[in-house]
Amino acid sequence: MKKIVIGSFLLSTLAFCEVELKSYLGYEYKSYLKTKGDSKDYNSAITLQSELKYFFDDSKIYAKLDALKDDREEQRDHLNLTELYYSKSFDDFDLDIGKKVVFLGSLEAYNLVDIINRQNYQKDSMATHKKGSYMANLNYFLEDESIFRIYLKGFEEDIKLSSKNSPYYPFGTMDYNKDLKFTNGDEQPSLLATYTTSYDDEIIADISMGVFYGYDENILFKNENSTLNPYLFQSAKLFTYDTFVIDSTLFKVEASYTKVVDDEQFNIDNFYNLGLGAEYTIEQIYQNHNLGFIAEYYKSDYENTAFNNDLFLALRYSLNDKDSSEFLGGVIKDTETSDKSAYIKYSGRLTDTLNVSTDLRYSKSDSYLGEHLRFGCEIKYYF
Amino acid sequence: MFKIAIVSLILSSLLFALTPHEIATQVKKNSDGYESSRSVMEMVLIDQAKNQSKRVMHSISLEDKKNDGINGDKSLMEFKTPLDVKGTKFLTHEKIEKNNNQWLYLPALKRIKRITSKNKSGSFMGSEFSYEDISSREPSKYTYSKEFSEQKLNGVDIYKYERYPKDKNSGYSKQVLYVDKNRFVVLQIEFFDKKKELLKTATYSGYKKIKNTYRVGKMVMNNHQNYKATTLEYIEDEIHLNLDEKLFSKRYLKD
Repeated sequence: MKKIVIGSFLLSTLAFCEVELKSYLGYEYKSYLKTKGDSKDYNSAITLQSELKYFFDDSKIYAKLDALKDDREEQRDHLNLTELYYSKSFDDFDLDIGKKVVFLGSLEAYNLVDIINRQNYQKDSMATHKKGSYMANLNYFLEDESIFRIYLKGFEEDIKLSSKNSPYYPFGTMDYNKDLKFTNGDEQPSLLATYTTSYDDEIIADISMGVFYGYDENILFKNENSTLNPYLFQSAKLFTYDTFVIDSTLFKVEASYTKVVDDEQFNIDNFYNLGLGAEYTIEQIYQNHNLGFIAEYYKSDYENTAFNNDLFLALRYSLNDKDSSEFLGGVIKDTETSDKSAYIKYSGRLTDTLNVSTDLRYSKSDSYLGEHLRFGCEIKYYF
Repeated sequence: MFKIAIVSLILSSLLFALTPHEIATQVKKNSDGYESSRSVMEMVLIDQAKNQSKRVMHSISLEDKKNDGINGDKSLMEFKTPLDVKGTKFLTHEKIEKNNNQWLYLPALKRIKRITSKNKSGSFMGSEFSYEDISSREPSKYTYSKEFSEQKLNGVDIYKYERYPKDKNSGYSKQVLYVDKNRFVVLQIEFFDKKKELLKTATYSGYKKIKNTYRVGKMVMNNHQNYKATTLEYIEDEIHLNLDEKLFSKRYLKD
């Protein structure tokens, strides 16, 4: 009788809710055509991503699972619950609690103000793959369609890098400890607030401003007893990310000023980051094909920055066909040093459920990576 | 007496004679009044070899009631298939004279991206429909031929006239419209490219009349230059839903 009651309750619950599922099973291959030192000449891995949305009343539960199994590098293997959060909508605000990925920014090459989530280095060090962060998030919607958002983030996760014989291991022969440490002792929560509004009269623009107090997105490593320990330091930030529309050109800005709050161990100076960009698309350059131009410039006085004086130029060629075929090619050049990197990428569909992407990436720098050339391809079956 | 009758007839026929602009205005009036709508659309892309590829979209729309000549309708579209783009959302605030305000939500990146386009003739989702084809209800966006003819199209009495896009960024030089004489709904449009050659033909069918508003059921676009075709069918279509304007804001560009 009890089973029947529980079963009836579950069935009636399912009848009044909506469930959405989306998954892919993939295979990725990366061949290292040129690397510094003795590192793996290729990686191949099975990937899986599953996404679930469960809607009921004015609420939603969202979950995303990411898994990877590499047949050559055990260190890359992972099964991550990237996101799992509960979201409740009220009249003028939404409340989200759980593990979540958030995007902040307007530019294409680097997002200087995208400071909440940390990178999944196990997946790939050369492309952006974010890990979820534990947070409580309140979004308040004003009458004029502007949005005020507050994020309270806690429980920073340990850092997992590639294995020592991967080309993306940054510390040569030295070991590192994945357990995070905090320069201020015990971990404290981080707080971030943003205000976003749009203008539609004399200027057409999306403007966002924010403040942050908490653990900086930059991770510092300290050599202690021949082991590198990762440290997070606290900082206070003021930042903005904006998009302006003039005729058919998008002009973009990302800027932040960081005051280092608690850094007795590393003596980091306060620093700024600035990025300026423009994007213009020539439509129907040939049949239905579009050609987009992207130009961005980055400036920073952070001493460990990778993008000071970097100029990014890219072309995006979209065929606008049924397979959403697109070619993307870009060059990033440091205007002060000889550092440079370039890539060309194709993505599209073989069938409605089979997606394929392939890329060639080159970089040359004085960093641990040295001169590096990589060919990669990935095929994903969606179900 | 006979002269008076003739003069009266001429005067009355002049008084009630339609112009193409008036026909277009009547067509718009017949599609007005939906207030807000919720639709499920199925789009089938057909290539030269007759291979088919299906897309499903869910859409909500809000009619602009101010008719101030500045703002148009608002819409929020969510792609359900192909699965790799499932969850991608497209928010449009239409502008009559200026470029539309458009934002795209990319679920893989959790990113809301402002997009802009002065050229409305670009392909909509790789189909033979352009953004211009599926958004232009506003008669003031065109100039019109001075005259029209009365003909039959597939046994239906129609008005045939031409209209010319005012927007210099339109993909067309001319459009020839075939409008049902009794219902004032568009049955067919021939689109001519900038070289004044026939580019595409759209046929409209399956009209439903809900209260005083006509809603199209199916659109078929045949491209005469690349021999591809696209059908766009409304699987579900509800109107007069009293949807809140807040639904058409960036708040709903999320998972």
